[in-house]
Amino acid sequence: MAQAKFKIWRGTQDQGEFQEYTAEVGEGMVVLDCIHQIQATQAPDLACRWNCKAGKCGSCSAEINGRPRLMCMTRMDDERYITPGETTIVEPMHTFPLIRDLVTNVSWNYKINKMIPRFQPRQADAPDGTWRMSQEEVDRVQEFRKCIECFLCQDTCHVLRDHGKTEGEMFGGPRFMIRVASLEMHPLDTADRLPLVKDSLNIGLCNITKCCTEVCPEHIHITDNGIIPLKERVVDRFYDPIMWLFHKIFGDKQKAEPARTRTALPVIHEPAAKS
Amino acid sequence: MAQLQSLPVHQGFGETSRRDAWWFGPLVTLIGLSAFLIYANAIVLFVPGYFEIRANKADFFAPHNPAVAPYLAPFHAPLLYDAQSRHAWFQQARPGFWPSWAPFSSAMLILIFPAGFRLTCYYYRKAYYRAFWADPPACAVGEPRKSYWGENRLPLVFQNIHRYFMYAAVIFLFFLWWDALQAFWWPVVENGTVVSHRLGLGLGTIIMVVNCILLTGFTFGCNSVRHLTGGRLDCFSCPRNIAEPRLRHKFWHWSTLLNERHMEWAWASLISVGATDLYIRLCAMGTINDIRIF
Amino acid sequence: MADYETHEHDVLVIGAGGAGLRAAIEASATGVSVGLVCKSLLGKAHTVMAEGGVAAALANVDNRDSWQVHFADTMRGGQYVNNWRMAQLHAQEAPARVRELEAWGAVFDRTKDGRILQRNFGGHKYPRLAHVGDRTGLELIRTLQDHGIHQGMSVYMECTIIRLLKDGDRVCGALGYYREKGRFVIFKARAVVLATGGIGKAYKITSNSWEYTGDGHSLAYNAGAELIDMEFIQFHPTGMVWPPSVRGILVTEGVRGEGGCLRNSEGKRFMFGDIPDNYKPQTADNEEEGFLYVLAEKFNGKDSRRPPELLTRDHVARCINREVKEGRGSPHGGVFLELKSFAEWMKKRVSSFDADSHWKKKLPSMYHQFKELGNLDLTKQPMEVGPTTHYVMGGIRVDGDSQMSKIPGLFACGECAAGINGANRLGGNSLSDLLVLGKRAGEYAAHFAKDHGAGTIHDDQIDEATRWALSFIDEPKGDENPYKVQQDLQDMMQDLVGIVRKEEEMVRALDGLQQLWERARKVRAPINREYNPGWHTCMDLHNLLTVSEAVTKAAIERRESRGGQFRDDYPKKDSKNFGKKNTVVWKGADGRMEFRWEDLPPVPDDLKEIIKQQGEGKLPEELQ
Repeated sequence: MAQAKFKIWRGTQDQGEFQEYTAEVGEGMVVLDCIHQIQATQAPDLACRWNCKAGKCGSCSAEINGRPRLMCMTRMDDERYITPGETTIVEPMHTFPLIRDLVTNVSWNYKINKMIPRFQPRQADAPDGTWRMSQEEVDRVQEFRKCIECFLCQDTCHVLRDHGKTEGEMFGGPRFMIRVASLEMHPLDTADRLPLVKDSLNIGLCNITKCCTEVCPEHIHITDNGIIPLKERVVDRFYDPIMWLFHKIFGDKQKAEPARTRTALPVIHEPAAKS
Repeated sequence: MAQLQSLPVHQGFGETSRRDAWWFGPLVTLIGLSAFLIYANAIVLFVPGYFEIRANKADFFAPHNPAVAPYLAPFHAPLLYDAQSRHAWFQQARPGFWPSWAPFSSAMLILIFPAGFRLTCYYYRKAYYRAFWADPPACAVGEPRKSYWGENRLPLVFQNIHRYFMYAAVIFLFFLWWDALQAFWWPVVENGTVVSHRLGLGLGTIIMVVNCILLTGFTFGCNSVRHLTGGRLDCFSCPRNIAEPRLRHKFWHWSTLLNERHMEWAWASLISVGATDLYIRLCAMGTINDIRIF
Repeated sequence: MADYETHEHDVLVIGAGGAGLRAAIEASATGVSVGLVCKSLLGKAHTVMAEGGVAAALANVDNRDSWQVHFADTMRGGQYVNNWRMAQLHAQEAPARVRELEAWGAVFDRTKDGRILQRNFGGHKYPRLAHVGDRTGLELIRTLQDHGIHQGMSVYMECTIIRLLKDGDRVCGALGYYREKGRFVIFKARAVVLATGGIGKAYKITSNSWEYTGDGHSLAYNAGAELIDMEFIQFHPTGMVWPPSVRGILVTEGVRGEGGCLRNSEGKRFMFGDIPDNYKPQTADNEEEGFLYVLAEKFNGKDSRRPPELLTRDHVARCINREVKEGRGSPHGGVFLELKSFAEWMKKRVSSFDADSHWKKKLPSMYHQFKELGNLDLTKQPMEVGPTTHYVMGGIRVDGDSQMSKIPGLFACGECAAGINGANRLGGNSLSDLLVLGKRAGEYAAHFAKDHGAGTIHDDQIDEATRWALSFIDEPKGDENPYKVQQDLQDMMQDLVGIVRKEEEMVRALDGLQQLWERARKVRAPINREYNPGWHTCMDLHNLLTVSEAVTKAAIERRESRGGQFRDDYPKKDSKNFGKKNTVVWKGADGRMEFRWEDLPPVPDDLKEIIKQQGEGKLPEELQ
């Protein structure tokens, strides 16, 4: 068994440091295995989130040698991310407030999700209350629905990460762009979320530099299939004078929900401050 | 969102925990795009002629200097003004409204369209926001500026005009294909005048056709084309007859297939446009000779 | 009352996987106030690991399917020790629950005529599993989550419950702690729904995550409820075996449903050699027929029978185990699961068949799982697979209609409740189970809350629990490492109470458990209440020990082999002595675990008739 050196961030929001650990690396091991080993033998209170350990739940997001990754899907012998013989640095996601060690407070994401109006299907196609859609029709939204909510795209998105657009003129982030896309492009859905996308989730803040697509562990084409098509729809509705005229003359397909602007962040439960 | 206190916050330009060569991609983009921009500007500003191969190579604009090959350099296509070219729409040296003291090249009138198409293209935006503006330079790497408006305000809100440039690009594509077809129809020159035309093929013909193919692939993989063909629809077969053949879905699907390689098409067509232009101009200046196949 | 953060709800749902979410949605819909407690973040629960699909007799692909067939399949799969009422309700209501999901935004794969596509799965007579590629569980939980957050329920994330609070006989709330800060929180509730999932973490090789420590089982047990059928543990036949670090991670049954073949080191499809009698009429006896079944719709092969790889999970797992034990296993102690034979067969019929893209589309997440974790391309190379602890059929004893346990106001649904699956669960029945019975639990809990006032929280219960919880960091009684104790427990359960069980080994396990109990009282974690997994493990350990003891006790008593219980010393089914009985354990007055047998409720005649029709003319009594 080979040994691997780690530098892992230990600490809270206010104070902390990188601590060095050594792990025994066996065949096929991933970074999360090493973290578990360190937890079991050297640092019992090393905080990290994980659940499925198979890339399906999106809990163990972290930054490995500066790259936002799922720890469970980063093999120790993958030289794209781990340099053999060198110390591997494991940090928490930078974009979210740190709770402790590798665990961050991602509750902001849940607030954004709640801003998005739920699915509202058209009337059923058949008397038994079911609908008819062909596979071709649903392929597009099924891609978006692969999302495991690891929030790595939110972490790497420079609008949130470097420009901190999480309140005021805030940006919904790639995860919620594809969440809206999965509803807006759903063959059955009748609600209208374009004003929300433009004014509250501020799709205009995205400058399509595609880091979200690069880090997505589910390989969803977030930018090309989600954000850009939404941007084009926003252009249709709000910027394109010819389309505007077209809709004025021939009428637009009536959408169920009235246009809404500047939805405020909803309040969701968080642990109170007192102890 | 609150800043982490002691965890390294990569806020300065280029600060990151990444150890891979994250700067390599943007650097290549920077060099590639800069080279093209320098070439294009040099042609437009300093090389008004040499867009086709004429008999007298020493003096391009000499009167009665017929073209000896059917090629047209793509930076001058479509050729609006020229005193003698068969390709010209107006048989005069320059438009009447153009101030006489200003330098003129027919390319100045048209290049705004392909340039605008590429400037507002979703792929190129990514490329130059990263390489030229470092916003961000690479994923999870610190940026030089804190303030940011995205594409929400002037001037970048004008990126939304992309589809109009796409319409223009489709029209241009039509001209370019027409030019490429004409490149099979060679002038027969006798005693300094064109007496007839006949079918022929030169290396330039092949280059022009390849260029057109690449430009077509780039143009029809455009995200605005995708939107127009089907991206704007939630449901291709509504209302509810799913057995119908879905033509729009097919168009959308084909455009999507091209779009998946939009970056590759973008670079290939950019290089091919530059290379086609350079090839024809070098032939026109006599630096190299075109190879005539038949 | 002690000065802790307190929340009051009509219904408190503990566990936010599929069952918990479905219960919370249903309760909210009746207008009562609902609190939903998740041990992890919302939407990360183990339901995402369910890959194959949700079983419901929609009859979209094969119109001969009906609830009756589904009911009979479930009973046959469970070897007739199921709670017939649950199995009936489950089969009857599953189609409506699946259609409802579609109305909430789930996007299932489609048939040619635009309806929900259904796939073949082990033990199901007809293609019955509505699915989304191989990530059905994710689709289900995301749909419920996105629907649920608009229902007005309060969600408490990363919060672990350590005690149910009682007022006299009835339940009146729960005490937990937030993982983030380590602070305690009290929930007052008129009704409590447990939906905490399974116990997989009691074993070393498991497809389950850290959360699966039997919390609900243990909470209910300590509150006075009964656990039944705990000996029935499902070992999923196909988990990854190599590399070692991913051992146990699930390989969906969908791989076999789509034509995957199991082979031993000699290249033989060993499943053909071992088909139980009661499955012979519906199982193919040659490769051609088996393959034809996979694409029955395409090749008009509706009358072809299932390939033997799609026999029930308990049986396939045992066959794999046998092959490995008898020296015909793969290099790393599994068997081979390959897709190549099917691809070649397809190529002969359809020359344009593109195996590569076919599998990538049908099994996308399996493809990535093997590619990224195992360095293996499943479209080209055979996978190595072996049994992995997957699901516990046993759990909290509840009423078939209302899902209420013996304790008034305490409901349970999903994996932590028992009854519907009998001795062995059919693949795909867990997702439909959690939808159908989760809905019922939520509905009846809301009714209960409306009919009953709030109970009184008693401080002494809270003091006792908080003192216990803090003892591991503040005043530990020893210096044991909780991770080490947990590991030793997992090793022991794997070795002594695993797939193949023997009386003397299990008796040894009971001794071992006593020692582990001793050690568990002496564990300590660093002094730190904020997000301290070491401390959390100290507490979870006690739940794991409780369920391990229950499993071992029940497994010793059932001296026969049936479904998830295989006894090396009693390899045959013993219908006369054990065919009509459930094992029951509960906490005795002295705090020790008590055991008794209890007779199954008799199956009504009309259901008997259904079983007879579907079971080739035999009554359940003859089949048991």
